[in-house]
Amino acid sequence: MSDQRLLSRRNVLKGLAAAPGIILLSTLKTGPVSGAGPGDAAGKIKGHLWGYAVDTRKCIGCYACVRACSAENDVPAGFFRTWVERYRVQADGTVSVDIPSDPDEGFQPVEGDAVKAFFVPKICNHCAKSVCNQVCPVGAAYTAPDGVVLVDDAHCIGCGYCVQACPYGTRFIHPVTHHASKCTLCYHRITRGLQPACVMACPTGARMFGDLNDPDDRLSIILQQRRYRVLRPEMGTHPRCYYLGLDAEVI
Amino acid sequence: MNFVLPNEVNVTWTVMIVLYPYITGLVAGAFIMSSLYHVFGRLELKSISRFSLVSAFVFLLFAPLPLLIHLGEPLRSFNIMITPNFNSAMAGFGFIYSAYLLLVILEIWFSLRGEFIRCARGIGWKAGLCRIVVMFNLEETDAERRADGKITRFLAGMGIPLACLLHGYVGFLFGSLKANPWWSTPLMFVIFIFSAIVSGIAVLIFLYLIVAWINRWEIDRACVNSMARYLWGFMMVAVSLELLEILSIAYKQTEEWEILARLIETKLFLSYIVLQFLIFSLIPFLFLGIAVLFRLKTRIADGLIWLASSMLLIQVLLMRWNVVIGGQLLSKSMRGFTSYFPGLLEREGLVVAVVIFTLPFGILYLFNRIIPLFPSHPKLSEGDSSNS
Amino acid sequence: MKTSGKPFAIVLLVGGIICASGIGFFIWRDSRSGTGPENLTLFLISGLAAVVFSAAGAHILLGFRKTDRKDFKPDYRHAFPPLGLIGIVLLAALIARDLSVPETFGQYGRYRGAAIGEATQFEIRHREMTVCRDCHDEIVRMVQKDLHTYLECFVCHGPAGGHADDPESVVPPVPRSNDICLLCHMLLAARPGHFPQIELDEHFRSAGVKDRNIRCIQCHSPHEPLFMDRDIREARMHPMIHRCRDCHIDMTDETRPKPSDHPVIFECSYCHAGTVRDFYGRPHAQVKCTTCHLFTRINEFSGRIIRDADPRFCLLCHRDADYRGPESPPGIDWPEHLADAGADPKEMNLKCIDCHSDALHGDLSDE
Repeated sequence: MSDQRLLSRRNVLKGLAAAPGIILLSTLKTGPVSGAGPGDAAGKIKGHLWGYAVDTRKCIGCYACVRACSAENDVPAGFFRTWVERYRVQADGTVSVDIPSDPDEGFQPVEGDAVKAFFVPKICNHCAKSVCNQVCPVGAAYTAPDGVVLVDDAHCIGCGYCVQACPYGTRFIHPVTHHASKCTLCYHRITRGLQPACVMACPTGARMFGDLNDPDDRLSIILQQRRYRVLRPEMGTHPRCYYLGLDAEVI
Repeated sequence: MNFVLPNEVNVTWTVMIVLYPYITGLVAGAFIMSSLYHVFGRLELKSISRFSLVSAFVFLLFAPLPLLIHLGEPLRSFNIMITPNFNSAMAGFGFIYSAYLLLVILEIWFSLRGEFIRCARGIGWKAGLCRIVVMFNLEETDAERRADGKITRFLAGMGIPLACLLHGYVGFLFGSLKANPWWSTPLMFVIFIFSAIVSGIAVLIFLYLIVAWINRWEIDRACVNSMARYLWGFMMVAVSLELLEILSIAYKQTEEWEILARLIETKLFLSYIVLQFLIFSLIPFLFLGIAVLFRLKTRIADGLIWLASSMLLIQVLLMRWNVVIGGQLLSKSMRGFTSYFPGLLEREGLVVAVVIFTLPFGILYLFNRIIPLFPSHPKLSEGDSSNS
Repeated sequence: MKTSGKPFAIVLLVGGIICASGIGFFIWRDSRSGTGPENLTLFLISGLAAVVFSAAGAHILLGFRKTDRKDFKPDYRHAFPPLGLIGIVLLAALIARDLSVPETFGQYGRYRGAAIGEATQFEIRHREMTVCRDCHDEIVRMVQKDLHTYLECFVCHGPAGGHADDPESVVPPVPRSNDICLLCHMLLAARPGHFPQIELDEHFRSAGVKDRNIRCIQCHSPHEPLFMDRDIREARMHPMIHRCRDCHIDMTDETRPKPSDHPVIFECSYCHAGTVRDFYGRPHAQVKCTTCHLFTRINEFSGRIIRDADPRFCLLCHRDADYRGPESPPGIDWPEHLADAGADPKEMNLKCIDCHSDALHGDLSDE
């Protein structure tokens, strides 16, 4: 009860801060970041807090995850809710990045001698302070109480502001529905106790999914024990997608 | 080397979103010009004060049109006011736009009530329309006229911050997007306001001179000279700010400059460096400078001012293009660029854009048929003051 | 016409006060109901209206004072109809707006609460291996013993979510081309080095394959990739040095377990049951087989003891030293131990197991 009161008062404060022309203020209101790291207090009230981790050293770039995601979620051709990037660093330091032109054919060998090469799977980071939620003018981009950043398909007006705002390029405007579309962490699966399709499809366990609120969850243990990074931390988005063994070249 | 994130191959914001800030810029600029007369007492601008206010109104009417065409779900557009998320810069649009539209309508109503009444006393469809507009009150007293003057001045004063807000919020909308280094600068807000004023003054000069030439009016010299001076001043500020923005990023040599430099050198070289700065900023700057500083034959001076205005109209359009499209050409991978040029006939294509942009001029012409926009000029014939 | 705008100004000011109290009302209601965000528009507009009304009222009042002196009194009454119209429109818009806010909006936050439920309403297409096991038990048990156990069936056979419900009409594909294997196993510089990957030409050359049209699955069973379908003399791990037919000499031999009944990992006892049982009865029972037997690719039979049976290896545990406690294995002092045992000094290359073979286990050849 007291929690609810607190929340509602915070909403009122939000309202006050949003008084005409003072949009600025509302972005200053933040206070302590909720859900900054694994197992934060804000999520605990609501049960689960889903998180995601990628071990880039395990990724073999087979693209099974991307194919599974597309088939599971009806992702339109030419767009991706997840993808895998190949980084190739040459001896002189030049970096070239590519993704397969055809997901069904996967990565092909390329000319040139890379001294360092690796794959990096990318996915919506399900940020604790997601920019897409911040900029959505109608409240169609939202974070469910379990930490998953979702799109309200019945409410989205298709303005594309969230697509511009996402620093990770994981959102797109669906060419048929004209709504914003993005990774849902396979919300229809995880709410029924299954893993996301990409996690299940990964042959090497490079993609991991789990409950950050559960200290015994494999993901929580991994994040407690191993060193990780998030993508573009300077954006202040506090992603809940953690990368193990990430190279400095990866943006 | 050129790596674009897979979802960025198609740009999300098309030429429609270029047009939208362009049109709101014209609104804000034209309104501020009319307020210069109404509020700040620049009496030499009287000749264009009515014209500028009505121009602001018609452009304002069409400002949301490109947005509606761009929206994936235009029928849901009112969600922006039904469930606004005030953390979003965009959520302000519905309210700021509505408030501003209301204000401009009221200001037109109060400042042109006498004209409407005069028209309503006549016969024909125009009179019928005007009778509805003045709400069937065909009497006008001096006391009411005084009240109208006061209300107009009050509204014109209120309108300046609202005009800045309406357009500044567009700049804020881009400038606050941290994900895009080409947009993310606090200067964006200011640049948008100043370029809006430039485009507003430019479109007024552009239209006024054309209309005057077509109708063989005697041009109000004081008015044109004053506007040219304002235009010169505001364009200097606007272009300086645009240059300062890029110079400060370039000088700081931060990580983002590596990719922004490539963007400017390759994808935006023509539209940004050559067109926006070298041709459409430098030449108008020189033309206006010559017209303002030197005594020239009026025909030459007017020609220079008109040319400069037309070029500045294009300059501001280029600036919008380079901001809106340029920012999207840059991939968030920071390793490559995508490409965009609007198609001719698609929904968000060039034809639709041109149609949207010409519609306000048509409405302006119709409005002029009812209430003359340039009252103080000698009329060629009764009832039809111009062929603008 | 002599009229006063003062009543109008007072009406405006009163309106301002009413709107301001409206803000207070919304704050009060929001703090009670916990669904604050819903009323933000009303809240905002009443705030705006309060400011505008008060400002306009004040403006008119102040304006009066100025014009009173000049005896020019503006008449504001004609402004009532348009302002009233706008007021009515605004009111209607506000009511329409409040009516059209989705029902569950603000339930959990500034979004439609029902959207969460809707997001879960999506067909599950990729089923996990346990669903396949209901019908394909043997294949699944086979897969689960081998390295492809980490692969869900759908990675090769496609999602085919409806297959479990309607096996007749929804038939998942059975890919047989090399392409699907090479998606994972083609040699790419970016793949981790430890992951098995081949360059097809090189692979054919090293395996002595002449027919380049041969398919991967003709040698490698996708369900049991390490147990090759063909007799491949080279194998990496100890159990694999045996060909399938070493155990399954007679294809009709029903006493031998079927591949699907093989253990997940071959424990030593699976083949060497007698030896292991025997070993557990002896003093070294707590020592693992692999402590002494190390399998290498060079010679699968070679182990530390068998290869050199160096006494130094045994002495790693059995050397007598100060630091050893009473719990330690019995310690000796080499070579004194040899002399104590009355060994011939000429036979200094005597090995521990020459005398202590009973401490280990019986001969492997009994299996």
